[in-house]
Amino acid sequence: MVSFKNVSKIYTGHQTALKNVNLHIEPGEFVSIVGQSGTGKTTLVKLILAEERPSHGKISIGGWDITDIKHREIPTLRKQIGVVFQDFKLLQRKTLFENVAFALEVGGEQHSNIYEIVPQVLRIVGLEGKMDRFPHQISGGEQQRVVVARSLAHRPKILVADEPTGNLDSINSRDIIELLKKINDFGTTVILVTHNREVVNELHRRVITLEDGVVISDKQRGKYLL
Amino acid sequence: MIFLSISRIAKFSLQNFFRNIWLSLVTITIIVLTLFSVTSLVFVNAVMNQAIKLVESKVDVSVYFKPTVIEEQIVAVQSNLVELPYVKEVRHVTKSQALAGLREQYKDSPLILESLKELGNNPLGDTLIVNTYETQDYQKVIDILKATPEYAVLIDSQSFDDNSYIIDKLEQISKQVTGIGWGVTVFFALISLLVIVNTIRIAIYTHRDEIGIMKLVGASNTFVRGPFIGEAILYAILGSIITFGLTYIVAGFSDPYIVGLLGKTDFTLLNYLNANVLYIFGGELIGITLISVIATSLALRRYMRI
Ligand SMILES: Nc1ncnc2c1ncn2[C@@H]1O[C@H](COP(=O)(O)OP(=O)(O)OP(=O)(O)O)[C@@H](O)[C@H]1O
Ligand SMILES: [Mg+2]
Repeated sequence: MVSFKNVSKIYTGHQTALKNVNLHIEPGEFVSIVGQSGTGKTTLVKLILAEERPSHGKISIGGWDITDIKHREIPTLRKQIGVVFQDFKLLQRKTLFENVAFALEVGGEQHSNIYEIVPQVLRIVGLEGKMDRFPHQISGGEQQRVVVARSLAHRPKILVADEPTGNLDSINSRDIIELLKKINDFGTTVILVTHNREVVNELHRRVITLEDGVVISDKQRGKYLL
Repeated sequence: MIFLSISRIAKFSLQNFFRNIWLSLVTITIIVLTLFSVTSLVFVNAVMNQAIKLVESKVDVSVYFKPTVIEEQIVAVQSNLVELPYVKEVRHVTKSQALAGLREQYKDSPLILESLKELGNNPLGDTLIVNTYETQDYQKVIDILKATPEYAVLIDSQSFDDNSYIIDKLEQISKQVTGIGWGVTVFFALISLLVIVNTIRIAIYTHRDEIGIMKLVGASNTFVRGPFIGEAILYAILGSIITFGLTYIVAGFSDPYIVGLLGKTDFTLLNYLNANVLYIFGGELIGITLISVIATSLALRRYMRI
């Protein structure tokens, strides 16, 4: 589903963020990516989203070589990927329903489908009863669940979550991780970037560890090493 | 699908418009000022041209023949003059017509009428009134009449109402006004461009969260940029409509003054406007839409990373 071949990323200013990364993620896998701050985790996510281009090596997503992806092809790529960022917030002036609907509208989804999909994904994250509330009327954990719902709305094949629990306490964090597991059970490939040792150790799934832009460990049913 | 995108882009454009309503109003005001200065320029030009035409139509050369000259000789001169390529028309006023004209002119002064009667015989000669296409050609007509001896003996006198000075002056003023008008227009157009760039910049800033989401959920570039272009086109259209209304009001108010300026003519600004409405407003709409789209493209290129 996701494959990196000898990928390096050197930012302008000679900042090497990733060095010779090789990894291969199968469809339906749940992979955690861990590592200390500044080791290139977010860079890896941005490469998957084609927000950044690799300096060396090849990247392919779902069998599509996106190394030299054209500008106008990027939307097609992103329609296959759901994204949850720590700072990728909800629109404060829109209700939860409208927030999710917005993502579908701008993706070109039919009106009738929107009315079907939005309640569906909000039910998955357990918020179907609060659809008409505004973000400030729900808790931080609930907000993050809406973000997950939004990332699911266009039925992506891959879900990328960069520190989705960053601002949350452990109970809310656990909720989010449970949610990601549920989504993974539906068959979606999940890539989770996290600092949270507890989370990783309880998952018992594949863990890739980065250090200074290099993959130092890649284990099925891995543990948080650092 | 295309219809869906267009209707959603239109919806987001409207949202942009209303979310920064004051900014939108300022932008439209500047657009109206720009367009209105263009319209004023067009109006001033029309009035000036009308004035020049009016003065030109009053210019002519009158050739007064001696009373003894007979009809055939005059007709010969007339047909020779008409053949000149720069002569528009030559009117023949006969002695009796001239006398009738004189009587009509002085019908309220019995003294003059009395003395005319006392003269018995018609003392007046025939007259040819020559009009040329261009004012500068009057001198040529006069020169020909003077230089041809056969003509010179027949002619009593000739007079030329020399209005060419006024015409020159009018044309000069017209040119200056046009120049100033263009200067003002270009100035406002530049201000419009800057204001629109800034408005769109702020719109982009206001919508940075939406833009971020759009990009990450795979909205096409057209979709991300569309609402801003739509917003700018909306400004252009609303500005044009307001200018349109304003122009009609101003034309209506000005027309009485035009009559005062030009005297009784068929020319009114309203008529002129009606006759040229498509050119004036079509041109303005196209022009300001282009400016808006250019401004938005500049703002998007500068302030929005795709
Ligand atoms: N746009 C950029 N230009 C230059 N250098 C960058 C850029 N983005 C990231 N870097 C650098 O690349 C390195 C990796 O950054 P990255 O954001 O991938 O780290 P990270 O593992 O996500 O860290 P964190 O856990 O703190 O989020 C860092 O040294 C960072 O300073
Ligand atoms: Mg990061």
